[in-house]
Parts: sequence; C-alpha cells; structure tokens
Amino acid sequence: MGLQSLDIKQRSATTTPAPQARQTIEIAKLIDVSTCIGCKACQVACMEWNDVRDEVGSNHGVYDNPMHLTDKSWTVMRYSEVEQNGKLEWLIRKDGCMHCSDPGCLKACPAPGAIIQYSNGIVDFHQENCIGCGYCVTGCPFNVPRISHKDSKAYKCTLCSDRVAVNQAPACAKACPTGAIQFGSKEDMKDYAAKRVSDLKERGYANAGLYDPQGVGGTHVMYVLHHAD
Amino acid sequence: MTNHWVDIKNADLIFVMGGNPAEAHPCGFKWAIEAKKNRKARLVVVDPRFNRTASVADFYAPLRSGSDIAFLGGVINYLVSNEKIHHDYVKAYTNASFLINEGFTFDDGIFSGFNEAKRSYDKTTWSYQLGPDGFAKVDETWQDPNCVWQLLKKHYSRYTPEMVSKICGTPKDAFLKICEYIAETAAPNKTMTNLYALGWTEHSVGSQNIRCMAIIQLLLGNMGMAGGGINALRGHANVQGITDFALYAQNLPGYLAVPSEAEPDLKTFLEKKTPKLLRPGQMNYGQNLSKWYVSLHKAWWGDAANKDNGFAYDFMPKLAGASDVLSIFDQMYQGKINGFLCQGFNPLASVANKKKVGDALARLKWMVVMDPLATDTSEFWKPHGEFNEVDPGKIPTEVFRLPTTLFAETTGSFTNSGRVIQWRWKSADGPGDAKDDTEIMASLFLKLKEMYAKDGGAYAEPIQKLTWAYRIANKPSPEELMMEYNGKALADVTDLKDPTKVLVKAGDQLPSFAMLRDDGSTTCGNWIYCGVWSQAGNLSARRDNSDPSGLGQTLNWGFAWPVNRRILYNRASADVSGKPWDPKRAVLRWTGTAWGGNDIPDMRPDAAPDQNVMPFIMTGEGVGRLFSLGLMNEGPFPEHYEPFESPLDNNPMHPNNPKARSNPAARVFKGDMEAFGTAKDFPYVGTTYRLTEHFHYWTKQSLVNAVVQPEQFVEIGEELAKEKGIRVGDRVKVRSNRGFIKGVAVVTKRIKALEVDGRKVHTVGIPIHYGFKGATKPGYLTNTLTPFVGDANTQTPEYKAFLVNIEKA
Repeated sequence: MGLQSLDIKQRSATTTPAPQARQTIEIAKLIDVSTCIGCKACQVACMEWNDVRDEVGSNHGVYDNPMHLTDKSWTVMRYSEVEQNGKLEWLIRKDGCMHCSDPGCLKACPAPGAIIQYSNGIVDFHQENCIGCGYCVTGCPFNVPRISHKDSKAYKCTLCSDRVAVNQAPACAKACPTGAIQFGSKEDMKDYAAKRVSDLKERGYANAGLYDPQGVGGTHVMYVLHHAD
Repeated sequence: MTNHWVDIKNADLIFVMGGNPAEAHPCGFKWAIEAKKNRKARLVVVDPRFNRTASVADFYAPLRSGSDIAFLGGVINYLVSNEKIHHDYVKAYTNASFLINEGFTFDDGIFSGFNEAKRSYDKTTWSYQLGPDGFAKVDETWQDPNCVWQLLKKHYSRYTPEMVSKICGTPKDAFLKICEYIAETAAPNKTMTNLYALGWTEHSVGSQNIRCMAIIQLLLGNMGMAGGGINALRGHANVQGITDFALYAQNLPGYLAVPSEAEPDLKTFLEKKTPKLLRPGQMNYGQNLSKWYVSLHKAWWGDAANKDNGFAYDFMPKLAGASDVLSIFDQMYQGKINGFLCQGFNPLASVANKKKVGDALARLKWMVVMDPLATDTSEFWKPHGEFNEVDPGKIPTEVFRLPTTLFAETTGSFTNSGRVIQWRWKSADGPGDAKDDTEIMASLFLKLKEMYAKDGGAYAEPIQKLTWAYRIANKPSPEELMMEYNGKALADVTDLKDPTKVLVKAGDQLPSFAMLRDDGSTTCGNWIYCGVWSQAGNLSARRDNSDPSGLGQTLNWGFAWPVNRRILYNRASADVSGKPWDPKRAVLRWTGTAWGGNDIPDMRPDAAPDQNVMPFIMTGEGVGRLFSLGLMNEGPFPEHYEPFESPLDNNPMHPNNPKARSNPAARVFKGDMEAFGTAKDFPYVGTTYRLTEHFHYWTKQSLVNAVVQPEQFVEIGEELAKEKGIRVGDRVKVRSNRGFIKGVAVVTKRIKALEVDGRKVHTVGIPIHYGFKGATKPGYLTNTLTPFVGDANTQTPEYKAFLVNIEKA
C-alpha cells in the first residue's frame, strides 16, 4: 500500500485509465528451492514486518506450520518427501502470492480499488475498499487469498509493497539466511535463475528450470526448481 | 573452529557429519551454499536422518546413531590402504614416522594399561620412544613396526567396508562413494572442510569422534588450509566465549589447567603442566605456561600475588575431584550440596535424566536462578499437570528468581565459533527490575567481602584481596572487564634478547601474549584474549570488512584469538620450503626474510624454512598427532565402542569381550548403570536434536517461534510406524528406562530402518525444545529419557544414542 498512485497500472472494478506519466521497472522475487533449507525465517520475517501474528496451532504430523495460508500467515513453507529411483528428496517450497502479470483476483474483484496492480508488477489488496465477497479467492489460480473471520476482508502477501516503494527488498528476502530468496528487476532475476539452472543441470538435475507461468502472463514471484517438468 | 565461518566458502568438499548446520546454524550455513554456488563445491551429509542439510546436499548416506567411529575408521582405512593421502604433508607435518613405546599394545578392544576396577588407563606406554638426547625417535622410512604409520595402518585395517556397513547400517556402496569424495581432497590443491556439532560431542565417545576427523584431515593435508580444518559449530552466539572463560571446572580462562591437590606449590604445578620439548628446534609454545599463569594471578590478586608467596598460588582453589555437570548433579542427588546458584542455565531441561535432576534439586536448601526467563528449572517444584508431576509439599528447596537482562539489553562481546570476538552494543533497556548478570555477581561478591570482614571466616584472604578496581564497584563495566582480560604492563616490559629495549611501557595495555612475563610485571585475565584491547583500543569493535585476500579473512573485522589469527596451523598451508600448496588460496608464504600473507603467521615470524620449525607449535614435537599420546582417556587411536544403551548385545569389533562393549574409560555413577535399559525392553535407537524454528529451551517462550513450530513431536520411519500401527499425526508415547514423554508422530521417509549386525534397527527421532513453561503447547522435557553418562574426556552426556520403545498414546 506504499506505492504512489502514479505507479498504479490497474485497479479493480475501475474503468478510468491508469496514469501514464512515468515508468517503473518490473521487479520480481526469485525463490531458489535448490538452496532453500526450509528454516521458516521468511515466515517469521513476514509476521514481524507486517506485524501480524497467527494462532499457536498444533503439530499435524508434518513440519509445515501453520499448515495453510491464512489471513495472518501470508507465506508458509510446504514440505514434501519424494522418492524416485531409490533417491529421496525433501522438496521444500515457499508458498504465497505469485503476483501475476494477469491477476485473476483483480479481474474477479467487484469492489472498486480493493485490488491494485502497480506498474512494477506487485498486486496489492486495499482492505479499506474490500467488501469481503471472496471473488478474489475464486479468481486466483494459485489458491492464495484468505478472508478473515474477524473483519471479512481478504488478505495475502503484499510483496512488501511498502518496502519496495522505498527501494528495500521484501522482508522475507532480507531475512533469508542462504540467499534462496532473491529480489531485483525481473530481468536480473531471470539471468540469476539461468546460472542456478545451469549449476543444477551440472549436478544431475536434467530438468531443472525456471517457473514463470505464462498462463497468467508470467509472475513476479518465480521459482528455480529441481524438476521444472 | 580451526578455521572460521566465512572460510567455508573456500572448500571443495563440505563434509557434514555430527551436525546439521542448515537446521541448527542456518546463518553460517550460507557459506556452504556460497561454496556450492561459486566454487562448484560438493556437499556430503552423513546422519541418522535425512535432515534439512541433506535436503540441499549432493550426496547423503544414513548411519546408525552412535556408530561414527566405525564409519570414520573405515574412511581412515580407505585412505591409508589406497594411499589416498597427501604424502609430503603427512611426512613432514605429522607424527607418522615417530616410534611408539614397545610396551604399547591393543588387545581385543583394550589398550595397554587398563585398570578395570577404576575404569581408567595407566597411559605410560602411550608414549614416544625417546633417544638419549631426550627427543622422540623417528623412522623416516615408516617401516618400523612401532612407528605411528604402521600402528595406524594396523589399527584401522580392521575397519573394512563390510565391517563399516555391519556396524553403521550404511550401505557399502554409499560408504565407498563417500570415501571417493573425501579421497579427492588428498590432492595438495583440494580441500575438505568438516562441519560438526553436538552430533559428535553428545556421545560417550564424543571426543574420539572428533579425533577421527583430526586424523583424516591430517592424512589429507587439510589442516591449516583455507577451506579446510575441523570446524565445531557452536550453539549459542557466545558459547565459544564462555568456553574460553572456563566453562569446565578443570579449566581456568584460556584453557589453563586448574591446579590440583597433587600440586602443592607453583613450582610443582608448572613443572608438571609445562610440556617438554620432544624434537629439536621446535617452538613448543606451551613452554610459556608460567607467563600466562602468573599473569592470571596478577590480574586477579594484584600486589597480593608476588614472588615471595608463589604469586598467591595458595589463593587458587585446588581441584579435589570431578566437578563437571553430571558430577555436580550426582553430588546434589546424594545430598552433598546445599545451595545452587543457577546462572543462565536450565538444567532440569538440559541435563540428562530429568527425574534424577529434579530429585537432586529437591535435596537443596536453596536455589538462586539468574535468568531473563522464567525457566522450567525455576519451577521444578511446581506441578504442571502430566508434564511435571511433583508434590511441592515434599520439596523443601527455597527458590529465588533474579531476573537478568538479555544479551540485547547489555553491552559486551560475543565470540563466535570461528574465535572472532565481536563487540556489541546494548539496544534496549531490560524490563522491570532486571539487572545485568555482572551487577548481581558484583553485588554478591561485595556483600560476601563485607561479611568476611565483619564476621571473619575460614580463609578469607582470596576474597579480601581480589582485585576490584572498577569505577563503580557493584557495576563493573564491560569495557573495564575486557581491558582486564587483555592485561597490561605493571612495569616496563623489555625485549628478552635486549633488556635495554622497552617493548611496552608500564601502565600500557599489552598488544600480545608474547609480552607476558612470569616475574609479576604483567597482568592478563585470559592469555588467549591478549591483544583484543591493546593501546590501539577495543579491536573487537572493528567493523572493516575489506578483504584483500579474497578468502574472507577480513583481518580488520573484530579480533580473532589468538593474536587475530583466522586460520590455526596456517604454516601448514605451505610446503616445507614455504610455498603455498595451493597458490590460488594462499594463506601464508615465506617471503625470503619472514612469514607473510593473508593471515597472522602461526609460526615464529623469522623461522626460515630450513630451520625445520614445524607448524603444530603447541605440541612439543611440532607436528600433528595421528597418535595422540596420553591426551585422551580411552586411547591414543579412536576405537569403536557401542553407546551405553545399544541395540546390539556386543561390540561387533570385539564380540567376545564384554569389557570392550562400551567405552571402557567412561565414568558411570553408582545407580546409573542400573538405570540403563536393554534392547529387550527398549528395542529402538532414540536420538535427540534441535529444530531450526527454536533455540534450545528459550524460544518456546517467544510467540513467533511458537507459531512456526508449536508442539512437541517425534519422528519415526514408515516401516516402524506400520509395525506399530502409528499414523501421521497420532499421539505417541516414547519410553526409556528412565521415564516417558508424549508427542505427535511425524511419520517420514527421511528415517530408514537400517540393517545392523544382521538385524533391523529403527531410529526414533526426538526434537528437544518443549517443556512446561512457554508460549508453545506444553510438553515433556525430552531429557526425561536420556541416560546419565558422558564422554570419557568431557563428560558431555550421551544425548544422541540411547534406547527407547514407542507406542500409540
């Protein structure tokens, strides 16, 4: 919510044209799962920067906790154990909003100005305009937005739009101890991903690749995956 | 660490065993990732569990917890029998060619000199053959059957890949694959770093696990090299600091030995403890002990310590017997201790066998707990449902809680695993009435001193005469303390070769421990910290990260002990003639007139290569010890012994010798041997460990940590779960012979059943961190389960390998 109106690209349920006076570069967060150790520092940083605290839950027989995205957990780690050809892998993925170039949530939203897409690519929710209809939940191909039971507003990752507006990396990227979360211009992130993919291929991951799904016009949260197939 | 955190980025192979740095040291682990990204380094993990570190490794192999020496002994055998060693390095810089006493034997698991009744060794035969000149004899051809090389070869020839697989449960091909990875680093320009932590120390053979790696790194020529070394990853941000300042009762600051009753005067003490020169021309730096020790007494007792009274030698308490943590709690359990000052310590949670610790605390008259948090220990007397079933009516102990400030609420320093001392600044005031630990301790001392003055008492002198020159007597400042540790000149310090030359003026802070004297003219509270606060000021506060070496040495960032040296034994990074083994990662080189390069030389600066002064300057022979003489309590070569609670009936290395089943030299207290369980009742190997979401027993008190890992759990493999009818998320009960805990079952592919000595062995993984105080769901203290036995040298308890049973709760 920190970016200026000059940087608005699209606004939900709004027909007036967006401002055109200046251009910003497209940004992206790159999550390199091959160097992610699943420490959850990103979850903690998200809670602390945004000053939200989820409930103390229960253990459900897995490392994942909280188990799901909620109105107060805007990012969670997902752990899966995969055994193929006698080789075990513990795949760990940070889940959260993908900040699509063509955001389904925004298109579905009937409340004027409740969802904003900025020219740098961030898709942000403005809760003061949210009517709690839940259309964004239906419109999202990645099952990300969550409606609060307390105030009936929709919440999700802001990509720390307030930090990015003042040239700071998102809190999760700042906190990541191994550099598995990188942040910068989308072009730079693609270049960085290419290097990581070639390293993984050299280590035997023949199908390593970048995940930047074109079905939603590409995303502003991308992944380097061991198995992009 | 012999090296340091940033140096991990220089490695070609990162070998992780006995640790799980991605989990327990996520910030430092970034350097392993850097090595992978930028040097194409390989990461290999050996652990009972496929853990978070394994999730980003190039290769992983399982082993049974408690079988590390068998695995590493197998690696030694592979390197020696395949000649995959750095031959020039081993020849010049180790004791491979040294001849060992002909009386030294090893017979079916027992070394010469064993006293079964005392569970200890007479180590006389674990020694070098000495020539008439008093120096150790050597055989440069390595052919003498009593030379270290031949003895080493013979000792480890028994650790065949088949034997490794039989004891460890590691598949033979996986073991051999790892041997190949390791053997590649025998090349002079390849290095392996080894990262370990409590996964090696918390065994009854903990120190010998590490000794194995010392032997391997010497054979490979990886000691002293950038990207090499043996690297202990310490837990708390300042646990290296507390260790440097006498964590163990048998040590004084700077790892000086505490005098015992067998050393009635200073002269006897110094004669006994000062190492002898064992080869001609070597530095034998330990010969300076008298300077360090006398300077310590001068720091503590000032003018009251003088030549006439042996520098107040009598003021130093003499070690009368074991005073390690297990021994203290055993004495408390026997009712021999009345009062307990518990400072920054949560023993009910962190010492083995919670029942015994709780019973011990209940036999105290009083306990004072100094801590920033309301710890489980401070409420050991209070019922907390099923998690702490006690009857306060039967516990007479009076408990006082003194709230202290937390690290962020004080100024001071942290010493990290890489021995880098870093000053830090207070960022907030403590809450309520919390006081700094120093203020509480100082106030207590001043009160005692006053009481002795008023009421008298036995031997008041050491207290009355303790140096106490702080500006505010009850609030010694961190700056004053650091200056005191560093030490100063009381009189002009002159050059030992030229007494007319003044090196340090009277009253000045000392620049290095080379300036310490044993005539009472210098003070030093901790000799290894000498130089941290010289006349140049507080060097630990330096924050210049410029790095001309490109190796991450950053010599102007903080201050590393000793003398700001970043890589220990760095003389060994160059060949005998002084040329770096790997010019791309040069740490040190002989410039023609002196040693120079990217570090503070671990060598006399003017010792020309042709003088043959060897790199391991703290040993009397100047070389690294493949054979460790009498320094270890259970033998000069590590030997595999089973954990005290083992699923096996005997030690597969010595199936017919019950004396060699478990560590023959480990101490077991009366009553504790009976508290060991057997595989009949407790068939599974239990092992405890940490999670990245938590720090020991602290962060269960913090809401954000509780949110991300809220509740106690237990990890088991799919096969065991199926056998026991346990499903993901079920509540389970884990029992040992000492008690039980309950937790949620995490059923995982990451823990596999292993084939060990012809039978199937399952592992039950038990994260620590939970307890009855905190923001997480209340839980059981995991040390309810663990056995009260420790390593034979350090007495670190065997938390990593014991026996349990498991059932649905």
